[in-house]
Amino acid sequence: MTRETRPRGHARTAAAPPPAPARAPGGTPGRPPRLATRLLAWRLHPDERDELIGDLQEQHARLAAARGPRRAARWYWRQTLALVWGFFLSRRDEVSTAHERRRGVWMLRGLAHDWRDATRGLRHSPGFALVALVTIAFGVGLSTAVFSLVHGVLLQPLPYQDGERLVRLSEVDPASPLSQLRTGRPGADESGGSLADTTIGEWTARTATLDAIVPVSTDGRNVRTPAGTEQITVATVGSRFFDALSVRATTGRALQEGDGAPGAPDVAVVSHRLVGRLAPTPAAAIGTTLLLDDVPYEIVGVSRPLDLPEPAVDVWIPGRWQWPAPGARRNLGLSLDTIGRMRPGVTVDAVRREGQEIATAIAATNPAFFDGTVPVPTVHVRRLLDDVVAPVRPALVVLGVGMAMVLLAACVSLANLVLTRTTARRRDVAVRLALGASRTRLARPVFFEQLVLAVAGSALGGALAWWVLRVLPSVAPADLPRLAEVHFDLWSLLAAASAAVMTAATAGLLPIWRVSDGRRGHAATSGLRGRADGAPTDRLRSALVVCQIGLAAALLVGAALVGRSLVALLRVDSGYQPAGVLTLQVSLPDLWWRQAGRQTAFVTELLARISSQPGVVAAGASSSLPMRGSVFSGTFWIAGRPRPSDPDERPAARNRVVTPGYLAAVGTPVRRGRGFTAADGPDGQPVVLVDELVAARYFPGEDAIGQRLQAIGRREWTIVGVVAGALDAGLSAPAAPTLYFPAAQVGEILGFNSTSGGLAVRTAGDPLSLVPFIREQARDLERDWPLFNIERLDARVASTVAQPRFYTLVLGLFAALALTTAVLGVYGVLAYAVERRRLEFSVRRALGAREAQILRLVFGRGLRLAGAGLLIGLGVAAAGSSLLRSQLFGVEPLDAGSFVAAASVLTAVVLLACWWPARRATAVDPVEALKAD
Amino acid sequence: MPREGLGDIEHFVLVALLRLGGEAYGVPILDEIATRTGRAVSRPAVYIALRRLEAKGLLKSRLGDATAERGGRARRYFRITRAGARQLEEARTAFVRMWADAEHLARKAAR
Repeated sequence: MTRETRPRGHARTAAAPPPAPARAPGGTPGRPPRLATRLLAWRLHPDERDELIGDLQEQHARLAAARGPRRAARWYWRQTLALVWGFFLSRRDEVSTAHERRRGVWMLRGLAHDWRDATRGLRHSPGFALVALVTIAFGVGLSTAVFSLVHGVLLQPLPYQDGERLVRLSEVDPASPLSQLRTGRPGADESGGSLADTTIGEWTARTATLDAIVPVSTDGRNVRTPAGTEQITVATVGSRFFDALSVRATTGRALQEGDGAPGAPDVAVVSHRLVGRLAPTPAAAIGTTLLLDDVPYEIVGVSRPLDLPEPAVDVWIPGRWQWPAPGARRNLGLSLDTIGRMRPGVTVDAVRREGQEIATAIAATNPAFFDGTVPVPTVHVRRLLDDVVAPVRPALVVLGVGMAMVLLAACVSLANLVLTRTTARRRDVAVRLALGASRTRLARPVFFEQLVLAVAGSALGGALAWWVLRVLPSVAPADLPRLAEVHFDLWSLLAAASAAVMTAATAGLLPIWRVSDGRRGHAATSGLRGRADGAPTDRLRSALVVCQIGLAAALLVGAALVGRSLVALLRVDSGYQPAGVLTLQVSLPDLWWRQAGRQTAFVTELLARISSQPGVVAAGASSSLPMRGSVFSGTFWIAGRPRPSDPDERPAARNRVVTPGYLAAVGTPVRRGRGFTAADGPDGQPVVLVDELVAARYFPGEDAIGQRLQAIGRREWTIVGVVAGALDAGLSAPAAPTLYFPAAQVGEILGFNSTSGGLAVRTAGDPLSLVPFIREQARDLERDWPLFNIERLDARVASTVAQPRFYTLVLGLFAALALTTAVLGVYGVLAYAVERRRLEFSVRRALGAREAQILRLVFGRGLRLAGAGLLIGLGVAAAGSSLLRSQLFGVEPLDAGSFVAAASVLTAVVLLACWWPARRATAVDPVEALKAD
Repeated sequence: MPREGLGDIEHFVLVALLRLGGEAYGVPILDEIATRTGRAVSRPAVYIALRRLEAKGLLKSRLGDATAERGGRARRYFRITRAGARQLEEARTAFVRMWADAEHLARKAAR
């Protein structure tokens, strides 16, 4: 039948406008505009393309035959646009067609709907939306930032090819008193450490596990640039340094084997940073001469900045080392920082065993030195990455754990918020369920609402993380390694965001699943009654609040511990009075200061000119300025006492060579006896000052003053005074015993050129205002030797606690966030419970309950939650606080004060959160509530 | 339970289908409505009506043959279902009853 009717239909329509049977004018019927057809094909669903485009083309063909191709084309375009626009408008609300529904297209179609529903729903409860968004944004944002930081510093491989094969080689003589002094604590198994030259030579000759063994050492030298003389960091490295790192020169060549050999020319590779100041282009610098302390080097290559052996190295030159044969007689041993590159497939342990064998063999060939009283050094091998990050690893692990707890707290808080919201919808859900809606139908809008929240919150969080990582370099401690390698870590963001999405979705869907679970009828009626027996979700929400309180308690304990530790650190007596003190160093080239007398004359005259300035209270020079870590150490003998053969018992101390004004300048008080004066000259009796630690350790119960020591230059020095102990390796490291020698008597060994020697000036005003004057006077006396490390002593001391300060700040922030979520949680649960129990309260009031009794009900509930949370939180803190041990100073991990403080703060805040719901509960009017139901 | 009534275009589409013998594809339907009503009817409105009617179960569709003048694209043929016919009849009855003895009133009002 259909076959017959179609032609009939056709025949009838043939008479209609656009009429005429298909006829080809001029032989070729005009083809429909191809672009329009494409547009249609793109916009229309595959299912309807054939039908709609076909119909259109059929009519177009007729029209083209009747009215010509141009009009037909115009008509075709109008129809195309009408279709596209019309379908676009209608689709927004349209019920999908049957064949589309079968194909699941409706799912996509529905998205727009769901999006609209979700945003509308959220707009109607802006409070919930805002709190949820902020919670997600902070949780996701901070965790992304912190995990990016942890990843960038601790986990990410070093930025060299096969960076995981790079190792740091060192050997430590565990019994040497000097090694203990150097590291501040015995058994130094921490970052750094060096390798003796004999060991380097033997190991290089015999290694089967290492591709390359590269000694490195750095020092500051003066370089002439068009802008003037400045001090830069120069690394003297083994010729295979660049090979070992697999780094090529970006211009010219890197150092290669043969550089540094006897007779080879002096060559240098410079960094991008420096070459920009030397020549217009890197290529132009190749082959030119670089003057380092007036010694010429030929620039052969330019390298990217390597931050190895230490950050801010600008020139690498080959070391001209000759490795001594084992057992060779020498007066002076050389020890160098050494990097090795492991062969593929070799383990760190295999390298260590090989090194230990070699060290043992060297000891065996040198019986004169290793005579049984000196132990064989222990060889340490550790991955370079571990070596670089070792000092900050414990702190970053604490940060990571703390952040995980904050993220967890944020998730719990979010779950609680969402549960509250969906539970409030139970009635609606129950009704719709009773009317036959499917679970999916009901779950869909809820799911979408949570999805919208989680995605929007995560986007905000991403922005927050990006901002935090941008400002991080300016707030993080400057000595945090690899800070430049910290980048926004997308995986951290995705992980945190998916945690948020899953939490929100689970918490959103749970109540619906509950209602729709099995007892439909029951749930529906209970939901309809409006006093829903929300007991199961209520219990769940209480459990979540207990979790929040627990997390907040644990984080509060952590913050209290590091806070108390920081306070203890700041109370430490550094042995200086740092306010108003300027310290600075002058870069004097090696060749220059070795000329007899020049350095002493220069420094003495400079100090005299500085002292004559108004406002200057005292000025002095020292072989090592305060808080610069490196102080020369040595052993000494006490006159009239037996000299112990056991190296453990040899007296040892740090040695400082100072001018008379130094102690007054930095504010280290003389406790007894006298300080140095101008009278302690080269012709006077050699005198020495000891600090309280030396006095207590070597002269217990007797007067140190008047005792004589054999020390520097094998001369006998008479102790004339005892000074306070002074710290050099930060506020947390204990002071080391120190001897002070007068510069005038030691002679040239002022050590002014060491990494830490320099001037200290105490002023009445702003210390930094003196700098131009000092610079001018130094130039006037000699030439423009660069001044560097110009610093206020108080800033220097503060910078040593930059890391504790930073971690305290971050942990405090974490604790505050967790506390906020806990307060919101407590408030939410109680407010909801009060709302739900209005009837009960009004009945109680009607039966004569006093306000206090109602208050007790609400506060009791809050305190029970707080109590349970505290119990868990303090337990977790007690178990986990040992993690903090390495970060604590002067505070035990189980410090009772911190635990009590955390518990008190938390309880107070919970009580505050109870206040508003409690007020609402007492404000219930018995009559009104009774009437209402 | 009575369903929602037919829209103008839906009504036209169903009647056009009836006149075309119960089964037809887009072009004749468009032509039929245009001829009968004497006005240009919006193309997307007609297609959307077809889909709505199908979704409501008042129409059924199947894919048909393709021709060269259609660029080798298949036609979709629509056919009225029993429910469709019934609803059309209901709608017509409703209109007729509403209009009974009222035509002259409309003319008068328009004058």
